[in-house]
Amino acid sequence: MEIDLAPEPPSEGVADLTLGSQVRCRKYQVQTLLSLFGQRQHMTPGALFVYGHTATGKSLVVQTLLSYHKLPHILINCVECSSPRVLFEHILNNIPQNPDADIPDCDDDDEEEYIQCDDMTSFVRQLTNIVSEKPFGEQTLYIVLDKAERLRDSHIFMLPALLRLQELTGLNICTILISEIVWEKFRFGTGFNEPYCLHFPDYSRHELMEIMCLDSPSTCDKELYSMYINIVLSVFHMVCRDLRELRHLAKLNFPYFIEPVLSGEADATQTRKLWRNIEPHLKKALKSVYLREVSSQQWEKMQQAELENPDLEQTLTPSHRCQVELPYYSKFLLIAAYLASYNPMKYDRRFFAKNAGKVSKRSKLVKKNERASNHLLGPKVFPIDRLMAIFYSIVEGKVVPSAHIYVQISSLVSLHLLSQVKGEDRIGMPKYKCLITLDFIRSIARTVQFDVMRYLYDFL
Amino acid sequence: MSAEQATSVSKGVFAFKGKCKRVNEDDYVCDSKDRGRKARMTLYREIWEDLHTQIEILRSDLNCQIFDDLIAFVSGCHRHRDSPGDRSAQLLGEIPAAVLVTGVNTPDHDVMFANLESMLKSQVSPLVARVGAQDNCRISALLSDIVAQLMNVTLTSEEREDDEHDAGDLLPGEKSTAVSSSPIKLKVAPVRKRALNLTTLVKWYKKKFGAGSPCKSRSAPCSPRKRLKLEETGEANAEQLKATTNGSGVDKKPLVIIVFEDVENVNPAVFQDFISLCCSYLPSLPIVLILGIATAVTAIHQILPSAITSLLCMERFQAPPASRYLSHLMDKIVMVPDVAVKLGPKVFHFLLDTFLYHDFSILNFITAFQFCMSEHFLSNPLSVLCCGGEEVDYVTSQLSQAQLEDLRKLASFKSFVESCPPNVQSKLWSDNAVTRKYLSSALTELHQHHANLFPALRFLHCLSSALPKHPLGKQFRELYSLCLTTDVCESDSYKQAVTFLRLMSLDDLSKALAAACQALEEPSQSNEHLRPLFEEVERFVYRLGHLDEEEEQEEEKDMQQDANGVPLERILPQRTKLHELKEKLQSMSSKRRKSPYEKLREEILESLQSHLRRLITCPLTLPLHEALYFNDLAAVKEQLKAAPRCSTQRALTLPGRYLNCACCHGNEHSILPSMPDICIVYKLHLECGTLVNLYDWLQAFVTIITAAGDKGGKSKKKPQKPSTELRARFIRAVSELQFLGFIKSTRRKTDHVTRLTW
Repeated sequence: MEIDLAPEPPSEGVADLTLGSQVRCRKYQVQTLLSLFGQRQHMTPGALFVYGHTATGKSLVVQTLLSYHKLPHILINCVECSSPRVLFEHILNNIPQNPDADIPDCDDDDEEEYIQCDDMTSFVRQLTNIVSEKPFGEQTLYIVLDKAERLRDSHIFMLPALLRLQELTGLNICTILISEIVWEKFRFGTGFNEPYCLHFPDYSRHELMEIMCLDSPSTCDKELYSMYINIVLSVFHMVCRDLRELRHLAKLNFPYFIEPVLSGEADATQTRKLWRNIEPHLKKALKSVYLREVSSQQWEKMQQAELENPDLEQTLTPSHRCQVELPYYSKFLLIAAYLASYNPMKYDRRFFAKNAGKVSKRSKLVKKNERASNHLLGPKVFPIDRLMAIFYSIVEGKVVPSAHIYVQISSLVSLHLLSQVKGEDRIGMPKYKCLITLDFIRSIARTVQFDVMRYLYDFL
Repeated sequence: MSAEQATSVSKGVFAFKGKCKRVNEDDYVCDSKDRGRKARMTLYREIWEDLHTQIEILRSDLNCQIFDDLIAFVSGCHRHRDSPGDRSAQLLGEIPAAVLVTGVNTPDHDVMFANLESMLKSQVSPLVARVGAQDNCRISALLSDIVAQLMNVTLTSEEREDDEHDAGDLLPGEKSTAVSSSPIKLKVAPVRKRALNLTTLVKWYKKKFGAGSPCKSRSAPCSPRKRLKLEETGEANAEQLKATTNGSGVDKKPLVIIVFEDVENVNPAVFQDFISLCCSYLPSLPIVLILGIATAVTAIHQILPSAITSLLCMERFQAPPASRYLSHLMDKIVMVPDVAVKLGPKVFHFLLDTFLYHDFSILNFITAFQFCMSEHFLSNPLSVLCCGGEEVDYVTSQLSQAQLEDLRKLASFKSFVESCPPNVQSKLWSDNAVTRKYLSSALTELHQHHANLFPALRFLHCLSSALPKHPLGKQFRELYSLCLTTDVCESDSYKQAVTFLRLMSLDDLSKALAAACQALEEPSQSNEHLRPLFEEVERFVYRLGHLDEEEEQEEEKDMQQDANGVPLERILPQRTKLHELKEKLQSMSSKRRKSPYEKLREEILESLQSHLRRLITCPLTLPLHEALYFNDLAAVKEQLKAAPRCSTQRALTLPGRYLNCACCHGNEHSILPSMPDICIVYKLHLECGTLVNLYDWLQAFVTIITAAGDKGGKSKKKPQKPSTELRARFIRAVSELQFLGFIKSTRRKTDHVTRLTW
């Protein structure tokens, strides 16, 4: 292949710091990286550590930089590498054939030998062999490990060895770790080669705006769009700084913003009018930031339905979100589990026995003091016998303790409505906890005409 | 059998693989006592085949709507992928995900997802992977599972011609596993399981569908239906295809669809990893996720942190509730005149209760129904007569001498004979021809009754379902079950319903009547018993619509009546008591002149009631209903409603019934020394409290055992010490009891055990 075609990494003075306008607001970081990389044949620092919050452009900058300058590199997501073997084999099998290709060619021979590698020693040996045979032999090979924090869970020598790869192989190799946490958290064990740390700070509001403006659709005026982004940021910047989420929100609500302009109701310059038009939509979206329950299409449908009859939708939505349909006895089991979780055990007799014990005045007084505590403390663990006892006392009619009933308990566990705390089998007295909220249990109880509040100690 | 055959110096346990014994059905079916079983079995098979196809159709129909939506969504994903203009969509990096809320009827999900998978494969993309809940607890295992599924699928679909005879006779579910283990597969794709990760998939995908090799992408697996779909999706899609640089006839790249059946039970950490991985591979693979959730969308947020959910672009699809599914099924299978086998009231209630109270599972319901059918044909000799209405004559004429003899022995036949006119009664016992004739007529009558009953019930249901308090039930099945148990027209709830109907307003009544009339229209075409009712109702509906015409006629009559009306003062005596006056006034008010509508309403209800009384009677009162109705609840319960603890306890209290030996027979409370040790120990421990003292227990045990030994001699000397044998027997029984879960050891008191049951 014609290696000459690849643009030489230009000297720092004339460097294109936006990398073909693919990267914004990261001039400093790009410049640092470029100066660290130097010329193709130059030796680069053995290890780089790139860190910063989610969506601050770490992976983007590194990846675009490498592919823009057509530098030989291997990208690995450490999430995928459950064992060292997977990591080694991934690296060895993905060494680029020639420096021009972004991604290793796979057309030439599909019957190619799959390289096996089990441990670090043979990895270093094989890596040296393979790389020195390649045409780019002298150039720096970049190994990019994304989500590098996962490497800490791997073998204890994994991280030190990867950081010292240049030293171990004697080749021109640079390991780049990308992570969301700081370098200090990586330090355990010994033998670290301190990497060069490069921090990607959070985008400022201004930078966010600049980046989000890139999304502007081709049909829309740039200025109008930047105004829209300004509005969106003014609403959401307080609660959410995640670029990804912000872009999602901006995309979701843009049609409402642009609608009056398109229909001719408002001029693009009538800022106040546009603001008044979009504000209620954004306020509504503010309630469901991060939820991602609806795609843009469904969001649209929901909003339209809401415009048609605003009262109905508001009452429907929250209950609809967590509505669960259960068999009759499952509902009672769930109610029993809730009562067992939130009532003190010693009061079971009072609630469920036929001739309940008298409540003396003093105990009433005591109770007043510790009132409302159970719901604040959260659910308590209860044994299965107590659950069944409460179940039999609240359910109407005679229920045979058949396998059907016990199966329902385990299916409630698998639905994450109960959780099994300990005890694997029925013999070992399994214990459970109820995981549902008061609202949920009330709506369940309403469907079976059971007044759950009357049985809750906290609400007496 | 194994220990003696194996010759070995060392001691050990040897596993001998037994032969897989297929049960010979003739052994079961051809009982010497019951010759008709074979014939009944074939009958059962025919009927079940019929029903089964009906059920299958029903299933696909019900999920049709939601699947259509889902498929439309999935095929709409990644539409803008290839168009270079939309940069934002690419950069946003969201994985389109369809959240399918399936409801809690877990046993049915498997069928549902199997259907979904096959539909996706045929209509959207051949690359579909399905992930169950339990199998994957590590990310590597999950990935290799998915990648293997994806790569195998296309392999088989591409090289179907070659593979057809190799894997042709395997079921589709088994195919992938079978192929992956066969040596042929290994030759084709030399990728080891270890190397199955997403990178491999990306390479493979590029090679297969990449733009660089147009000849290959043309031969990419694409069913004609999918191509149709692509054409249907409109011009936008077609234009976009043309716009791609090398897009002359090149198909759209197939989507990679990954279906998670049960997200709640997937290991959350693995699932998070998987999604973030998918996201990083999104530029090279058009991935679409389908997440099956049993409870509600909120479950997603319990599993995934916001960093991960922000990678998803979710859309929710809600499956219809299980109860709707059930009523649909019952309308088509259980409560129709066409299906010959019917459920008797007890079994009907049992199946319904199991569904509504316990599991919400259609699959279990169908299986239970099938079991009832097979049990009916197996145990009831009369079921040989169970057939559709048209075949009755044929079936009865085919009855052999022996079969008739068998039938005559049955109790239900006796009652049938008694219902016949006395002059034929004697003939029925001897004359085959007469017997056949009468059997046939009785059965035809039964079928005719069904044909009348169901439309009439539906008619009544239409009228009554909107009444306040629902005296006859909201659902049709409630009315039907009432009809099975009692005579509807005599029941209290029916009377209540009629009272409510008497109070209905004009609008409501005419609406309800029109709806009911519609329900009646179709069946009455072919059934002359229903026609009078239908015609009458039609007339009433018309009259209700044109009430004012009637009014005029009525008025004339009223004028005449008014003339001979009695003035009020005359009725009242001069001096009356208060309650007398009250009664009088009440009776007068009831006599009060009625409006024409009220009169008409009265007339309608009278007429309807007389019709319904004629049509609706309990079918179980008819002779020979046993041929069609299966009502053996005990048999069904025994098989379908497992009560492990009850049966264990019963076995321990009444061992004689299980062991079938004379010496152990006793009542529930007696403890006989001849009983098995564990029963004695069990019965003794019932007398104790929470904690059982082992020593006392042993003493009691020994007393009972030795009481048997010296029954004759009255040696009252105290047993010094129980023998080693007795102690061993006792300990063994106790540990057996522990194994069964009745007791467990405790640390609260030495030499004690805790009781676990009461």
